[in-house]
Amino acid sequence: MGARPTLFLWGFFYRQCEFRERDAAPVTRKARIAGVAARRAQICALGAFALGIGLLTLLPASAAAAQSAAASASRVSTQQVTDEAGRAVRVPQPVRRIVSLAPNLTETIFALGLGDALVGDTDYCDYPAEALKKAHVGGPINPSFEKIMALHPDLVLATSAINRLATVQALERLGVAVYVTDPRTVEQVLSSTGRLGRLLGASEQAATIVAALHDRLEQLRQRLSGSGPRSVLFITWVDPLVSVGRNTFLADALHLAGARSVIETPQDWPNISLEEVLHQQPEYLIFSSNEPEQIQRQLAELRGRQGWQGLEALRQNRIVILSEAFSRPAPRLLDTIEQLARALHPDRFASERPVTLHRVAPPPAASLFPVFSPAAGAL
Amino acid sequence: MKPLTLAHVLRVCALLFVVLLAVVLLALRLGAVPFSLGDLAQNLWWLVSGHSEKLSTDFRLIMVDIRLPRILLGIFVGAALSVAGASFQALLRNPLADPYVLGVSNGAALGVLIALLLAPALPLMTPLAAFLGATATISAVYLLGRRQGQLDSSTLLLAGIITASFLSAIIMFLMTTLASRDLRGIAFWLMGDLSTALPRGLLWVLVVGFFSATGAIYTTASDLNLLLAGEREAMHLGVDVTRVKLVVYISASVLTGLAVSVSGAIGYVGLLVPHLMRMLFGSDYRLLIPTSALGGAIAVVLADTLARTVVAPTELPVGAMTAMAGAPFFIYLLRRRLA
Repeated sequence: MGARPTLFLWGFFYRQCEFRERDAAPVTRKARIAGVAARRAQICALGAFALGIGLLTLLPASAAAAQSAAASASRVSTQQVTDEAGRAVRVPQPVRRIVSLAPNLTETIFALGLGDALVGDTDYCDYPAEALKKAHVGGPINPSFEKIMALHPDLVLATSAINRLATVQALERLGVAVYVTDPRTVEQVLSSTGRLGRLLGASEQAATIVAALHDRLEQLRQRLSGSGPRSVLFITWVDPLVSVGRNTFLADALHLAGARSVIETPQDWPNISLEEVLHQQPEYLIFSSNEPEQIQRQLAELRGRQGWQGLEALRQNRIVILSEAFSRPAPRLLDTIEQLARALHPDRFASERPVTLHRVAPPPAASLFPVFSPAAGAL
Repeated sequence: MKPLTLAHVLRVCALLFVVLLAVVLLALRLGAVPFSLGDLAQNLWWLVSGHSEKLSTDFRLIMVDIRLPRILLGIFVGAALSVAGASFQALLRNPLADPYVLGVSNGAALGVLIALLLAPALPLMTPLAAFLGATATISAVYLLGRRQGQLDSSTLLLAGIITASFLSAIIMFLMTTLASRDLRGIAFWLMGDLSTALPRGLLWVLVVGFFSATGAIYTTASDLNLLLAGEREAMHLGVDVTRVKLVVYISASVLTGLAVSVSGAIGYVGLLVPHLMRMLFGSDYRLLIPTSALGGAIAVVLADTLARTVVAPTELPVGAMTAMAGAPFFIYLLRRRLA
């Protein structure tokens, strides 16, 4: 036998091995019997193991047939629709029990006056306040299927922006109708709201909301017409620096508010380099958060950092902190678009009564620019 | 040391099987939706005795459709990963060998990534692509690890580690440059995830694949014992080294590919479980393969139960649980041996 390796693990691994069977050169009758016994031991052990596992696997199969029969019988009428991800979905009518897998969908459902039909939402659904009282099914990325099924939903709503395709497919396999929204522009946020309203039996409410939102968009457009867009950087995340790509509703929302993002990438959430930002020198930095104090703390820290100090917008405190509604494709998005427009083009709103602007913990340097808190009212 | 007897193998396997059953019952009991023990027993009895029409709707929806299939998936994934780990350890004569270390998991992840980019809507695309990715990677590692026609174990391990980092670099590159939204799932998948219910057909592929591959490895168990002494030594003792290596290599790759394709990259199981089983029951491969299979099943079902319940209803990736729970336990056993 070769030299024993020295590595401890290896040595211990090695030492444990027995070569009893084949070390003996002459094959005696006894050894042969031992060999046969060992072979039989192998086969029996494997057999017992297989049998045990096999029995376990038979369990779910027996119930499968009964289950699918029950599922198909309980549906009275269904409506076949194509969702925004292009999937064909059979939605039971009327939809009485909805589970929402994203905060923006929860908001939309409440806006449509269907709060009572919502039986479950995610841990992140915090608006309106009633959403917090609903049963939570976990986070949007990794919800608990058990919780969802226990709520017996007629329809599960998901959005391609934060939910996973795997989640949608798994729910589909469990026999639940899943409708996926995929708004890429503010216009699509509105049309998506209209479609959801029709699907969920709230067409009139949806039409009213969408018409009102259209009106507000039109007013905003007229008010801002003729004023050049401000160059901005929307900051999704500071470390590492992440902005938004051009194919998102956020880019469109910025555009409608009279802003132009200095970052235009095909990726939705691009990691960007500070060099590029310094080169572009955006006029404003825009954040969307329900915790403006935390953003302020972060900004104070960034002001002391090499590189960031060269960012004109940061030095002059041209910063807008919008509520999280800005990053949720739901009707409230319009409120924040209007807030942003006011912040970027105050001259265009000069004729109106002054807006309630909240100064949130002004930084030590002269605070030049008002910061919006989530409580800031609409127009 | 006493020679291995059939009775001993059966005793140990029976013991582990009882532990596995207990763990499965525990896993059935715990979850985001609570069931009382009485309810559970009653419904399970109906299920087993063929009275499935009597089952309550909730039990059918949650237990039969979600929890039980997930536990079964955990059993097979755990068993496959740790049998693959044990086999690679013998084959490469290296105690650190493990599907994760050899880059197979990353290969599977890259396969899934490419599948999501090309055809995200096809339902069976993900596991198939993962399987192809895993087998392609292991073949590449195999070819890279050969030196002058011989399979050199340290070269192979090095090739595996380098391939793994190369592949993960490609994954990172694709994830940051491509515009598709479905890539977000990959990050979750890279940590191992048992939550997405499998199509039933695929579970059967997993079961059949597992038993054929494990059976094939088991026929070489005595040869693997000898192979640990060194290839030349084994050859002198009458082992057909080339054949054994080929059989075990292919079978272990199949096991890894199957496991990774349905669950993502669950690390540590293939490394820890075989070592634990060696410490507990000795390292004769005729015993180690069944104990690793049962031990892997126990470990993954337990880890997944924790992943489901610790922050319920939100779920943790099971890979985080296996690493978090496995590493300290391993160190404890190692230290105890040294003391």
